Amino acid sequence: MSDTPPANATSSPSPMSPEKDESRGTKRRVDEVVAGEASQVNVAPTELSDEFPELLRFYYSRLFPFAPFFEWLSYGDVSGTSVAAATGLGAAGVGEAAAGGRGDGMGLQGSYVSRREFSFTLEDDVYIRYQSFASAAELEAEIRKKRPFKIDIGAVYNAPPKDHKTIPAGAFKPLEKELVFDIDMTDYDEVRTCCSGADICTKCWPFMTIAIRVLDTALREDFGFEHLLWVYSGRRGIHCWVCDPRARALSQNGRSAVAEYLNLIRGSEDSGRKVFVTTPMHPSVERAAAVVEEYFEELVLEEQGMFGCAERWDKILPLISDESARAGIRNALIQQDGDNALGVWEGIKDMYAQNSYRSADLTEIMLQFCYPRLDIHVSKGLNHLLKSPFCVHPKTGRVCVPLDPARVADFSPFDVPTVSQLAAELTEAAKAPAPSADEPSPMDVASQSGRAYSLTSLKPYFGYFENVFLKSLLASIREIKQEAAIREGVIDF
Amino acid sequence: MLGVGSRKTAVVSSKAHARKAAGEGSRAAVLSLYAVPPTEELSLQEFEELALKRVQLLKAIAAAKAVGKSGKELSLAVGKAVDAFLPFRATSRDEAEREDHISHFILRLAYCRTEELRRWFLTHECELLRWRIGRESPAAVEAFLARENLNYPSLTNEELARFEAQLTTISTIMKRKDDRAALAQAAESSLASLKTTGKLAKDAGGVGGGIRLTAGSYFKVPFEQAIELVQRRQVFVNGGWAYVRRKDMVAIVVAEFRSRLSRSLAVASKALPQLSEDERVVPLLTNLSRQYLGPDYSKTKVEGAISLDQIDTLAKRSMPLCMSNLHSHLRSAHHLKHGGRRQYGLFLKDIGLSMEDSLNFWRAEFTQMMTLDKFSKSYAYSIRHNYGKEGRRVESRAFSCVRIITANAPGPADHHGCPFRHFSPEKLAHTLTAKGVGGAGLKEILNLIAGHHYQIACTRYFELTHPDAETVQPIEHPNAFFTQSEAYWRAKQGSSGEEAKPKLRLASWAVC
Ligand SMILES: [Zn+2]
Repeated sequence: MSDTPPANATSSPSPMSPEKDESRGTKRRVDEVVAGEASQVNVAPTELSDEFPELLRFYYSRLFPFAPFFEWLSYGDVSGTSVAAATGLGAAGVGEAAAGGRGDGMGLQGSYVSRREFSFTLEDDVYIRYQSFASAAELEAEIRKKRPFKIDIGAVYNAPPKDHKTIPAGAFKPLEKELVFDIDMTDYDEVRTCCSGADICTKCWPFMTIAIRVLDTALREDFGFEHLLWVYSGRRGIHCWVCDPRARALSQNGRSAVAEYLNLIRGSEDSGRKVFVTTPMHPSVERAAAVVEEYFEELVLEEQGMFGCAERWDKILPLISDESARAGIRNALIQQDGDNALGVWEGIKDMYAQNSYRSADLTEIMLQFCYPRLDIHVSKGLNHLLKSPFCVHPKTGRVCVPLDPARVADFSPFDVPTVSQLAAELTEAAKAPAPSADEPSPMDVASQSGRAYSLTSLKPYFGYFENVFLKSLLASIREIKQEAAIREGVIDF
Repeated sequence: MLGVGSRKTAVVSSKAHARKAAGEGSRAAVLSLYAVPPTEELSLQEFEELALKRVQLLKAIAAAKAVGKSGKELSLAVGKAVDAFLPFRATSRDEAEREDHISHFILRLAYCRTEELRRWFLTHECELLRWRIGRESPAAVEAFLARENLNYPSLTNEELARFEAQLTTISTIMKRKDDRAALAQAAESSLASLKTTGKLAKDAGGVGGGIRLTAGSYFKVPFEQAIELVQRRQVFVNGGWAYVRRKDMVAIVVAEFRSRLSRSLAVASKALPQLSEDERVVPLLTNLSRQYLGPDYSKTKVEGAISLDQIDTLAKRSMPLCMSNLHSHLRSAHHLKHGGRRQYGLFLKDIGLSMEDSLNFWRAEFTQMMTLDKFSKSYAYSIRHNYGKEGRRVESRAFSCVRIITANAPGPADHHGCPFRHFSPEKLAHTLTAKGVGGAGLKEILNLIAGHHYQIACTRYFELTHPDAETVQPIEHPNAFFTQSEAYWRAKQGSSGEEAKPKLRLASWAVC
């Protein structure tokens, strides 16, 4: 529609829908600050020590993994077009959103990664959009110079974003982006009792574990995606970057469809029942329900104590559709001996097994309290920016690290190192002597290869990114290229 | 001259008139995705005639949807419209195809110019295609798919065995959904209800509700091309494929058509400025595109005709329910979401509120909830934009009833839309009672909305709140409601000589 939100004077199209700020109400967070809004939110951390800028300088000069980071976003392309475009894999996903974006005669200028938008949020609250870099060296130099408090990654356009002002209005268009998911613990406030808002603890983190397990499985099994980069945001949430060519080429409508397919929690804060399942359940929902069931009793009933007092069980009881059953359960809860949440729950399950109550009730309760709560607006937008992996969260000082979905149960956000901790670790590591006089010290070796991180507690996270995620991504890109070459007869056998 | 435009909008395809070969022998109706533009010359008169026929056809479809028709009812209405405007003539199939083909391409040119026009054209062309596919035999549809190069693999027996449980689950879900829809539809008219529910009961009991799967009853479609089904979780998705039931393939084909047509329209809109070779065509096209929008109140409004101090009174006595509802929400919550701001803001503009007054009006409310700075940054722009003072500098026009009823249904925290269409019957009854409509009148309105006659219900609401009004025009536009109402009150004042000057409301507008 023509009713665009007010554009910031220095940056034209805003990446957010006009509804964005309203729909999230007070839940807006620093993570989300984008063009035209930076001035309204205090990005500069107040709780942070004065040393943060200095620590950030250290982090960018010694630890930020520029080379693999850039290699990831290059997706094997150094020439001009993306792999998706080159192999025609993207064509299937071109919907209305991208209409006119491709094939309208305007050629692509520059390599895939050089057409990618980066944006920086600087220390003094300045927000700079439409940065782009032709090489890893350029990116590295700029990041080291500007030392951004936050780096966001946007879409891949048809021309380098830094040149967008030289391109006729309307001709500068986003073409591709990873399909992204954003799950924030703030959205769990109505189902957790241990913390609220930006706080997290070991009692509520399992909600994120569930989210990763459910979404990771659905994205792989249902949609056939393979290259999923899961990232801890550094504070209270997780992001997922789906990097397969087909995911990157998805139209706006395609993104919406996947996001809605995966989104079960609906309705506003005051609508009681937020999950409706069909009978029988859709196979994908059924699979998710099985995962959720593994956690529900321990997480919701024991850790969060949702049957602990009337105020809490009043959130569950309205989901029991039979009135007399509801009254019975309420009675049982009032009369429970001490804290007997599990006993009551067993009783409820028995009741349902013996009577002809609506059997979907119990599944819906479990899903409503445990199923991933997605911020689907982030997933839907082709040009929505998302915080980059490897940033340092300005409020916690923790690094935004990739995590291995296969070992998600072992991940704890409290183990993720902070920059100050890393500084200490590296100082300590520098003391390790060289094995002999004419050999370099371990520090020299690690720094030489650009992997000083391997001497710190970042090693498992960055190591996973380089050795598992990136390796398999690049291998499959090589494969796609080879197949394309064979198809076109470039390679003879 | 059509040739000129066609070259520019051409979609790549060299298979000229493949339709002829495939159409031989079949008595099916016109079925095409319009991959190949026409190449022939035609007279200006025929150009205009054909274009008008198709506009009328699409308008008839739009009108049927606007009154809430769906399923069988909609299908009947579309059929009637096709018969009236672009009939399939048994004697001359080629001629029917030719008319269909040419008229489609003329309308592409007429409706490619703005996003709103494109959306309207797309929506109703898709509805037409859906109807046409719906009445074909499976064999004819398959032939059509092949001819349009839409080849989707069917399932192998191995896949069928592997996913049998999942596919059966989806079939059951969909069958229950279809049955519910059929029941709801049947309940519409008691006569039909008798017949259909009887049949449904038989279906369910007779074959034991069993669902038989065969490999041929599914197609494998890349999930990107089945997004509607994926979005609603109405399809089994595995490994990037959507396993689509044969009967759901209509949705896939229509979606594919929509996406192709959307791209073609985007291309056409870029080519349009160079299309001025025949100057006779341009005004024709412009005129055609105006057809659907209804009267343009932004052209006839008198800026400053109403002033801020009148708004509360006007909301009470002359605004249609959709607008007085938005007004009272704005006054009480001091905020409206995007859809409401747009619907109400454009309405106010076209009844004559000046831009300055408009800015003052919204500012006075919004700043009770936010800082002036935030208002100026986030909202003032779109108000000026409505008045054509920002962005592309095109003044937007107030929404018609059709637009309000069909596009952009309100979400949980929204207040825009048409109360007759979007309120629950309870809430509507409550609102109407508060407006002094009760008893038989209220009952009548609730019956009308149960039959999806929203605009008629609104017209009835007008009659009930404007007793002894002379001739009431059916309400097709909120601004028409308003104009008609104001004329009524003016006439009344004239006859009774009452001085009904609205009172000032100082509390909220005299700020900033
Ligand atoms: Zn907690």
